[in-house]
Amino acid sequence: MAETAAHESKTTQKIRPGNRGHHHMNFEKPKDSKASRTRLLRYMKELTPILLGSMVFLVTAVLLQVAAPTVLGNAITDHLERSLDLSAFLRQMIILSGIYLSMFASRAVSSVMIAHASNRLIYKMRRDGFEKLQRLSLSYYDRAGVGDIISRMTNDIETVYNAFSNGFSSVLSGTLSIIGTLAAMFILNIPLSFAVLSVVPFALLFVVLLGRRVKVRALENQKQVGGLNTAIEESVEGMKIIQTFHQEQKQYEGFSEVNARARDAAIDFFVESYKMMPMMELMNGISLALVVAIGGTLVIISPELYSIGLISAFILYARQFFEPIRQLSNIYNMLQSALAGAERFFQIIDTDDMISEPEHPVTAEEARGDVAFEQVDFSYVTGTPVLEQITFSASSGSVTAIVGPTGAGKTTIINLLNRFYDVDAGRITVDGRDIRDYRLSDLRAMMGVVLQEPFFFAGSIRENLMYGRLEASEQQMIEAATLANAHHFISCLPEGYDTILTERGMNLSQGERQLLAIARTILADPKILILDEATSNIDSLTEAHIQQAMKHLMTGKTSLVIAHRLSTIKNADQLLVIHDHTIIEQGTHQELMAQQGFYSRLYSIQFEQAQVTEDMSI
Amino acid sequence: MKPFLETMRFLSPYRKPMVISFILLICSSLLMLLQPKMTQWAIDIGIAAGSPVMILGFAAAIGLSAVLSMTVSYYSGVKLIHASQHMSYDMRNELFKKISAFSFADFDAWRTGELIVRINSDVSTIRMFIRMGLFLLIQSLIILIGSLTSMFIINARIASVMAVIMPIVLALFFFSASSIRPIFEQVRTALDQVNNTLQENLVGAKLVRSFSRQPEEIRKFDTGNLAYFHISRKVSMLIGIIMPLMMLFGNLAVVIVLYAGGNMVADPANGMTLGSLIAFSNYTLTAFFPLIMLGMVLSFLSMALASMKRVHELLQITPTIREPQDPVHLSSCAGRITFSDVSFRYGDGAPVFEHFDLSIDSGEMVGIIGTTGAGKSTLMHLLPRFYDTQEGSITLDDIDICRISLSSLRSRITIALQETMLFSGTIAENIRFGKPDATDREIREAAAAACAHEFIMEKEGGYEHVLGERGQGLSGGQRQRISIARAILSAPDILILDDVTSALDASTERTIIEHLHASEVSQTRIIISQKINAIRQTDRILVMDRGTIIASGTHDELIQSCRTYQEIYETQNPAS
Repeated sequence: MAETAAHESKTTQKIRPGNRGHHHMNFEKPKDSKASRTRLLRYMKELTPILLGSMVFLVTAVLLQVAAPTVLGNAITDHLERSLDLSAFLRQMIILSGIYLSMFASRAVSSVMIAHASNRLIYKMRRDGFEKLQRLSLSYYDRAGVGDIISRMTNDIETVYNAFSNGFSSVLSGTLSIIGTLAAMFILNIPLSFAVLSVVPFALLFVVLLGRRVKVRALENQKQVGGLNTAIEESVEGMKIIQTFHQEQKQYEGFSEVNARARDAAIDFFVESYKMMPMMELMNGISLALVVAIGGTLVIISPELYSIGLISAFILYARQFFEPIRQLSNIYNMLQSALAGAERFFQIIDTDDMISEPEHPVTAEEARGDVAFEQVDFSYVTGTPVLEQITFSASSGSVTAIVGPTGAGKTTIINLLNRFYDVDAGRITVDGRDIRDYRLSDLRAMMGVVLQEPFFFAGSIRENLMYGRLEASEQQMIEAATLANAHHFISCLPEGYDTILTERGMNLSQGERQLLAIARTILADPKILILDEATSNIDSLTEAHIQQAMKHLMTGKTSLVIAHRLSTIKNADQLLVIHDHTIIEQGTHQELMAQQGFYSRLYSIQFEQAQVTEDMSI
Repeated sequence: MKPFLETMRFLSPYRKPMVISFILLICSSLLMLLQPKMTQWAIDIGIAAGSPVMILGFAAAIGLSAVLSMTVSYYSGVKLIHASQHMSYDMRNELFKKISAFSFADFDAWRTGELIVRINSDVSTIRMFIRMGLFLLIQSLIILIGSLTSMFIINARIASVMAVIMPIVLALFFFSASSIRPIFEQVRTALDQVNNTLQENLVGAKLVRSFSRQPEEIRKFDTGNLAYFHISRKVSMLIGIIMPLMMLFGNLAVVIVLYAGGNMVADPANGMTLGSLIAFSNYTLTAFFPLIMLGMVLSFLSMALASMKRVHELLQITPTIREPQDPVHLSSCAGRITFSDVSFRYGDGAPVFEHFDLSIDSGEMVGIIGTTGAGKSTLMHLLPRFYDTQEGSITLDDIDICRISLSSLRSRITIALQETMLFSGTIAENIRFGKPDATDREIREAAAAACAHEFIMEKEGGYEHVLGERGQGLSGGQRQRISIARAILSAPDILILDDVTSALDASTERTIIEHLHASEVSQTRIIISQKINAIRQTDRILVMDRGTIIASGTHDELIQSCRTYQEIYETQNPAS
């Protein structure tokens, strides 16, 4: 009876509180279960003493549990049935109570130890996984996808927890109590033992046959649940678009189709796996009937060998014997998915796609901020080059503008300078030293980035502005915000700098978010400034103010700017024109215009109109 | 209680299978209760009579009851699985419909994650409760009552011993269960905290690295992780103790029953036989079993109640924008738009517009330019009633939009929103989104008008190229062009482009606008942009600032007369 609960909760682990989104039932079989098993065991090394301790208590509890029916049966046979000795019977009952008490104590101690160990295990998995993720190159994020990583870090770890916290003691005590019950039965009486065991082959056959069918349906169910989750997430996130195009009805029909498919797959799966429970009840009932039939007959035939006490002990044993078998067959699937989960988790730990720290880092005390790329090649996916033979240098205090059509690789140059990724060939230097020789934190402290889509953490504007410089004073923060033209709108917010930024920054416009991101970078005060189309979402007036601030900020700093707007670029000390993965032209605006090449064509398309107005104003 | 009843309403179409299922469940539980009784008869009657035939008869009866019980409990379970799955299906559909009817103001009030959790895991939790919680609750109650009754029938005097033990155990049990429940809540909160930190960290991976904040991030995560560890361990330990404790109570009750029963067996006057003593101790154990199950029911119930509350919260929302009482249906319109004396604010925020007036002629092409936060997008969101105005009125072809049926209003207007969300599926499906019956030719024409045809053809499979979840696999500029094509294709009488050319280069941007100009469809068009390049060819340009139109006219007029427009123009033109 109780097993049905265990069974369903195993297949729908999502019901554990707080486990939101991204849950896929993990029925997939581990590819190499032995490897992930040993791996997991090694991972639990520090928990070995506590696990051994809990095992000792558990074994004690099981032995006591196995012994109890014998004591009980003997007490009845010796002191009630064959002779009547109530004081001896009382003594036996006191002993029995003692056994039960010790059984409780050992079980409780063992449970507490396992509770500690299993929670400790997933604490450690989360911690190690998170630390590893902080060191991984962004190319891992690109490949795996954030949703998948989150799923590994939450659901997969959760399956390990479920299997470990319920499975460890169940498997151990289940196996032990099967063995113990078997031994006790055979010692007590051999024919009756066979009576109990006679249904076992049928039970096993059933488990094997059903197991196969359940697995097929489980996979189908898992697939449909995944489809349903995607449909839910996409529809909810895209509901505004759906409404805009007035497609609510059509979307609803599509959704309920997916919903119905998920429902039918779930019904198939749950009905199939539910068959296990009534079947096991049947086996239990039949073995009980056999014990009564054979035992009862034998009591009549040879009362000197068979007693009612003996039969009552066997009735208890029959129950004790089938209970763990039922549990073990349920736990098997749970263990399988836990191993698959562990494997997926260890894939994070094993990824060597790391941005490695140098063994002997150079100290970057007084950085000037000279940047140079020397014959740099790079590709995100092997075989599809994104950058080839990129060579340029930008000296301290200069402004370098990177221009070119969308998808030419402009953003990649900046990703490499920051060491979000490492180059495939060539090298990048800062102040003449390969950037791989700097401590990562030193390198990145030299650089300030304003990304295309600014990201903020849930928290106040103040916390977000201070993100890059925790020790900044209130005054410094306000100064930075003022320089970025953000102070005004922040002050207009009801909560000012304490305004909490919501998930998608609903309370700020895109332009305002840009301003905040710029203020954040100004406050961090880097040596090298990287602006990735940072101004493209800000209206021209605001942009004009920012450019003033930037001009002031850029003094003495190396700046690399990606922007479509040539007004910024015209004032740059040098332009890099990126096209077809490489730098095709390089020089100042005047020089490149004189060359009459790619850049001058790009320029004339953009500023055809400007020419017209110039003519007009003449 | 209200959320509970409200969600239980979803079960009413399945009343019949549910009732059948529970009747079958009662039958199978009764059959199970019969087993110890028949064992007792076999011992007391069969062995006493020395008749193997009788014993075999009882054994056969036990076997038969097992077969019956199996069949009955199988059908009971299947019925329940069907009912619970259908219920969750209905519930998800209803929640989906509810969200479909949300206004943008409603969306602002919710986080996307919160909505997803409700449709997704909360519904599953409720289904679990129906399937397992109710099942276990009924089954354990039957067993509890049945075994207590049997005990009274066998021997009322020992049964009265149980009548003392049981309430004590029950009280203890409910006390511990209710003290665990709040800790469950804490576990949930702690895990939420951990997962939120993780998610934010992953989404903001670049930022974390740029500012070298990994050590702080690790510390932040570890604080949450450790807090979760402590609270979750506490719950696991408590449960780890309570379960064996219940078993202990059950076992001790057996000992007490056996001792009391043994004393009674000694005196034949009590009418206590050995067989009934064994049956009695069996029932004692059986009676304690439901208590352990009730523990599970309680944890299902407390989780389900929390989920029901959340689902109910969503279901009871009345979308702020509703169909008018007596709606006017527009099958087509000329596209004449008037804003008169409109005032609007978001929630309790500062007013975005006060006494705003504007009229746009049928077939006119209007450009809107202005500073961040000037209210350009807000203005356009008022037109299809994504938000409602607080004062004043907006008319379409001189009919107040609040009187037009929502569906016909929105099907006359197409907006390409700033957020260029695409869906998984092929590129063609995405472009066809607003006009499901569009031909391939129309799709190609729309794509060509949005300057998207070329890059689409470079993709593997061209228009049949499959995009990932949320349209992954395209650059920002490509997404914008697909979303423009989608809007152009679906656009009936009014087309609005809300700053959807920000990631495009100047020449592409201009080509798209030229295509719109050249198109002969009679259509009112409104183009919002921060770039003069995108709007300079429109019939009329509106310059907006802080919720008002400070100037309007053609490009040539404004460049002469409007100081703000000149400033914008200068910052965007290196030649000046």
